Amino acid sequence: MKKDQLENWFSNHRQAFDDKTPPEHAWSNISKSMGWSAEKRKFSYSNFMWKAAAIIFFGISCYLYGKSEMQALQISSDNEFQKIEAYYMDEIEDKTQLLIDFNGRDVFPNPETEMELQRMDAMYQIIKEEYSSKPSQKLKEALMLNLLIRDNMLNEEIETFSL
Amino acid sequence: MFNVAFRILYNEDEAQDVLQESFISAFRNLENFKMDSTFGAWLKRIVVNNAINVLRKRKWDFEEIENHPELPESDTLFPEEDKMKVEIAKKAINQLPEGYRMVFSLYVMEGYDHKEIGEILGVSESTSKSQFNRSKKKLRQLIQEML
Repeated sequence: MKKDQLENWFSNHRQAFDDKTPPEHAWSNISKSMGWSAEKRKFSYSNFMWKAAAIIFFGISCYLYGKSEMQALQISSDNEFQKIEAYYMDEIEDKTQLLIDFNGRDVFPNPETEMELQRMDAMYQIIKEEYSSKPSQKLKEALMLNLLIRDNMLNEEIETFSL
Repeated sequence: MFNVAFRILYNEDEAQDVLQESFISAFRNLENFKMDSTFGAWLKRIVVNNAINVLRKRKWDFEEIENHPELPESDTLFPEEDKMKVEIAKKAINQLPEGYRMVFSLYVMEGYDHKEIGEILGVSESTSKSQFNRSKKKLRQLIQEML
């Protein structure tokens, strides 16, 4: 059905209507309801430092470079991010398959962990979609953290399994 | 997703509740995701359904066109590009009766077709089409009044 002027105008200005952002506590409320709070996960100092370092690295890199170099950094950061993303996606896939093979029954050994990994993957897809339409440093860091957490969860599973 | 909920409810607090509820529901029911659409589209449908449920509690109804003066059919009432502003459009949508706003948002902003809108709202496809046409007429009138 052919669109009229009104429909065309709204379709062409659709992005202007995506101007609302949820409050900061919305996601923490979701996390609490899902039982994803930090207290429930085993706290590992070295893992925390690694995650913190990854976030700080991005922050410091952006701060140290001047405005005129920011664009170049952004391009190289995006390239770097894509390489890191590809690396961790491969790691996650390989480690998942490794655990399935270790288990010997063609299923992931720990159903709870598997469910949580699937949820994390779902979160990743949502953030990625948002990042594709509105790229931002915050979203990129959220994607990185998601990958690091998943990789860490699989490392812990492998450690548990091999004991 | 927050914007999707807000465009139906036009209330930030309710939109936030719907957003949280929808994410939690999606994560708890991941096994129901059949991969016949993208995860985003599936989640969006959950958000839309939850927002509509909130609206139903407000007891919205489609407003009868008879309650308003006769509205002209012509599309020429739509202002020229340089006169039409986003803020005017937002105000006008906000003033639409809830039923009209829902159908208009679902069709134009969220990209659902009338068959899908009928399923979401529990009305026939033809009702969705007629309500959509009425919503456009009303919107044109509101925009003209604001210019």
